[in-house]
Amino acid sequence: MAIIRLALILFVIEAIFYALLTVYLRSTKTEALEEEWDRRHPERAGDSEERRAFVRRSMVGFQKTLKARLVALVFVIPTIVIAVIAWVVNVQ
Amino acid sequence: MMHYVKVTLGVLLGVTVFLFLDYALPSKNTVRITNTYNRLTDIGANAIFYASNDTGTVENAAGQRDIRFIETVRPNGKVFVYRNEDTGWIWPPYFKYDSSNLQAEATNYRSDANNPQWVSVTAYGWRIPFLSVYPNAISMKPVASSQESPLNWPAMLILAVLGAFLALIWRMWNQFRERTIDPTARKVSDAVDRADARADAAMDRVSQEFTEARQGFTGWLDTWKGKPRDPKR
Repeated sequence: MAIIRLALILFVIEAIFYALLTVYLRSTKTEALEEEWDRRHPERAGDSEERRAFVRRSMVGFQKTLKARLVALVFVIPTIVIAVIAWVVNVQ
Repeated sequence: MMHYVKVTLGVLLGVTVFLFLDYALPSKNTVRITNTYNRLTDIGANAIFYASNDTGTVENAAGQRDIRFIETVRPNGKVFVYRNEDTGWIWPPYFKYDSSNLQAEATNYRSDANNPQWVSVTAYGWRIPFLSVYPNAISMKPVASSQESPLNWPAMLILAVLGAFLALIWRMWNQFRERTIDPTARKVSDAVDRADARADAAMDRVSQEFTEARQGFTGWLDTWKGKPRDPKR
């Protein structure tokens, strides 16, 4: 029973961090794109409809990139860490 | 006043975090094992310093728990007693369920002062005799001499991971503030400014219209005194 409870709690925490990391990565990517636009068009720097359209276009398919997909590792790594700790503590 | 409250709360938080880490992180001590045994133990108000109820613990009808203990002597001659309980799949996350094996190992390493066998015991927790609190032994490894103390790398690794974690949360929070909170605050303050300006303009218009109306009325009254009306109006 305890192991099921552990799995549930772990999953909830992992899901929270998955959501937070996804939002964080999207935010940094958006910021980088805005800076890219300002660098390319110094005369049209700053917030504008054009720049928002550029960012929207460039963000298409972002969740398919390797960086965005690696966020799913938050579901994998803690499980591996727990397995390793359990192995080190009990088997060695 | 507010300053002292903040400082006090900050110091309390720091002390709490330090005590928590000091309790939960593994520590290594080089000791010589003198005895290993089980003992029926009363657990009352100090239950927080013992294993949870559902980790394979055994209690009799009187509520006493059968707990394995390991008695040791430190290199300086002082004694130290460990308990040896499973943590199971619960807190603290050592995932230990081999306390029987650990007890067997400890019994195997028993030695006396004439022919000492020193072992490095990894454990977490505190020894508080007043509350009958014992640190929980996690694992042990024989070492060559009493002077030998292996590097406590698990605690260092955990601290490094916790530090990286804090840095990540810090960066996420900063990004959130820069990209979400600050623009929203700017927008709200701009809107407040605009509403303020509109209210000012409305007040100006009201007072201007009032002045004009009064001037029109006084001008009309003055015609009774034979004054000509202002041609502008």
